[in-house]
Amino acid sequence: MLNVEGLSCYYPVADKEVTAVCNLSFDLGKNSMLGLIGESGSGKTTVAWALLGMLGDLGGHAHGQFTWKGTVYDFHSPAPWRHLRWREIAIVPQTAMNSFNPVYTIGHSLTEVLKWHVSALGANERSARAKEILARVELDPQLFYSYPHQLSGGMRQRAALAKALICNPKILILDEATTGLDVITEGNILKTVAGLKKELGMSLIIITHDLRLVENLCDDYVVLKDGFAQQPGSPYIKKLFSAMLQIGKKPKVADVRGVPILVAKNMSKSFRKPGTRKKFLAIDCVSVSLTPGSITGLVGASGSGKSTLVNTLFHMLRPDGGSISFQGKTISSDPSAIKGMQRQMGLVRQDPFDSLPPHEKVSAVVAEPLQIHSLSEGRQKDLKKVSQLLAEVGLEPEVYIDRFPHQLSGGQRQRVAIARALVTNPSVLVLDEPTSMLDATIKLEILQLIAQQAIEKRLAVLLVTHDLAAASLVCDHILVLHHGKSVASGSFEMLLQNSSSSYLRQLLLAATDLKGYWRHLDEVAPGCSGEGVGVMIPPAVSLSVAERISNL
Amino acid sequence: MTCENKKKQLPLALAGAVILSIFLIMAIFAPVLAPYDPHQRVGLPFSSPSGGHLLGTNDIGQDIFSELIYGSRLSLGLAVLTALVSTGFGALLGLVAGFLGKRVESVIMRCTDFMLVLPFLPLAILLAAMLGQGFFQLVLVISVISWAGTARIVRAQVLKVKAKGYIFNLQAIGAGPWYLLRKHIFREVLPLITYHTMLSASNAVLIEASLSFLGLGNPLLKSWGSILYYAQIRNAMLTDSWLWWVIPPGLSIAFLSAGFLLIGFYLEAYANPRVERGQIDA
Repeated sequence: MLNVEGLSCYYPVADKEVTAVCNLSFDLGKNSMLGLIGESGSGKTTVAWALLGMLGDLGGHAHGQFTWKGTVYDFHSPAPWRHLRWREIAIVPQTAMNSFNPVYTIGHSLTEVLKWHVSALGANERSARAKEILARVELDPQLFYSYPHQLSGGMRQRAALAKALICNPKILILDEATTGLDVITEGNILKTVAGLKKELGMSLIIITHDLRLVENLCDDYVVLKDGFAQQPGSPYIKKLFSAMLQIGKKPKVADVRGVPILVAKNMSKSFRKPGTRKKFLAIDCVSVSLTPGSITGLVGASGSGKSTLVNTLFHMLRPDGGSISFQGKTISSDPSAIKGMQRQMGLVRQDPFDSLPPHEKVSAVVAEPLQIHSLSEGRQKDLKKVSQLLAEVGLEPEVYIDRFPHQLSGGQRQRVAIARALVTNPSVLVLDEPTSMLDATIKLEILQLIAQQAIEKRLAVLLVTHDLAAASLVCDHILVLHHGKSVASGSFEMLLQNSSSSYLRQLLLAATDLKGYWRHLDEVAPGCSGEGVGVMIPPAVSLSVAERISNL
Repeated sequence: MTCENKKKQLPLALAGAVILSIFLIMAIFAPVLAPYDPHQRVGLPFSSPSGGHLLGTNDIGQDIFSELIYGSRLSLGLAVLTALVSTGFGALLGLVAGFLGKRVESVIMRCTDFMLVLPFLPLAILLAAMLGQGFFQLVLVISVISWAGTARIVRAQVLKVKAKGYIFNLQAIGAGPWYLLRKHIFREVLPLITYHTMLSASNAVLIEASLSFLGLGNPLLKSWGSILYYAQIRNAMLTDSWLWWVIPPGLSIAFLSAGFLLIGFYLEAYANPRVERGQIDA
């Protein structure tokens, strides 16, 4: 259907030409799905924009040829892009959920596309078509009249999908279209996409760094590294797939169960709904206890109350109910007691690009908690401690200590954040989605580092994540939250055996076997308890991952 | 502003620095550079430029060139002092409002709004008439009318910095408000404040000239605005004398103001958070 031959893309950077993609060739068959995989900066998105003839708008240019319906076109010559774009090839771009103009309704954004590409349609026909396509992507057609801010992230993603599908394209490119969504929302959207592919006879190009999607959905895949396509079976591809997180059993470490150091009992917190007087419970009687040397996983979808619980643990939010005790003492609202507890706790947050002060060098960033808690022992001793910690988290001190955060990659920043969290020798380490924005290989390395630090330093670790696979690999104990309530708690094996809640089953399936998850959704009507549906966990546990973790 | 734009701005910023240096040398060495005492009658009134009086004389026979050189003292001194006072006051209020939030923010911001909606020139005239015409009174008048813009912008920037993840992180591990304000928020807002100081200085030069031109400055102080004021009331525009009586002080005002602005534009590159990014997202 589409044949790309020798595609090379270039960007001018500071008087030089940087090659973003080099000599890439691939075929896309009719009604097939092609995965375009690679780490950040490998040139995946550049390929997508080149296919739409829009690289020039991004300041770059492309060379090579593509064959579409028997006609050969050059990437650098003026192909009939106006005709091809959207009517033949459409895209759901990265962060598509933010691509709607906030001052226009969803309907306006959808009909605008038709106005440009199918000018023969009248206003009424355009509206009818827009409503029809909203229904196709399983949205209420009444959302035609809504503004983007009135939709949730998942709904906006579906609306972006509707916008891409409105002209009935033959090829749909999904550029990291579900990155940032929780596994259940992601699974639901991909189910809609797969259904539409079958129904409309489309071909899909899925651009992702999530190998799980490629394994589950794609007929074929191309792996890019630094702009070069990797040969099948190359060491890089092997490394990429071996780093893929799959549900696995956490290897048994020495039994470290002891007296919990931090116990939060029956924590509740409600917020007022914006624009109304109604309140909703963000967390509802949730209890969690952290024991030295063990990792507790806090798992749940977006909006399940994970971050609210973390914020109450750090006293950033005052809970409506419940109590926190630390080292056996109940922490009241006394500021000195709170500060004493905060000194014993380290925090690593989700976004590595936002969690470090941009104007300070790594040495100052890591040493900062020492100053906050007046634990500094002089510049030289602090620097020595920082160097030692950087080495422990896998960064060479002499290379990285004088760098600024913007000179580090996402994974390196997360390592710096972990070093900072450990500088005060805390007893508790809380990690809020520490790997959700990282590439697969780096994700695994960071999880290994966390597991290693927990064991070596006998840290009580709370790992907050929506990725059940990550939690299953490193956590001794998992707590599942859903709409602010604790729906399951126990070791991963226990959760597998006693997955009484429908939500837990969905979470397990969506994280492991997308097609199985879709079958589950087909069998269970929404809102139904889902009885009689067994959990399907793939028998293949990634041995390489388990082995690597157990080698810690 | 990208790194490339910053590079493009560098020659302009250097030009601004040269202009300011020239005026600074003029102001510091005025007694050496000026051929006459600007307050003394040293020639015939309304003399044309000659070897003895490079820019001729004014209506009472004072040397215009000497007035111009001494005028740089007032314009430059007033610009710098006003910029420091107005930006300092505005930035302090902006920092407090943005950081503390709640009622303090509401009160400060409503005062700011009030100042911003008042018509600028009538307010300046009224204040100048009420407070008097001395140098420090002028500084006060110009500061009072120009702090509000800085306060508003600094407060907006503080809100932005306050919402950053790393600030939340530091709060969670026990950093107090004073620590955060001093160590991080002020540092992130500082480039913006520096840029605004330059803009305020540029504006102060223009406002002082406007007030003096309208006769609201001190007639005994030699400033470029007062030279223009006397030129205007003695009908210099009706004779050829505007060439040496109006154009030199006019150009001096324009150049000094532009000098501050050119440096300000360069500093804006640092005030802009996107400045360090030059990478392409592939």
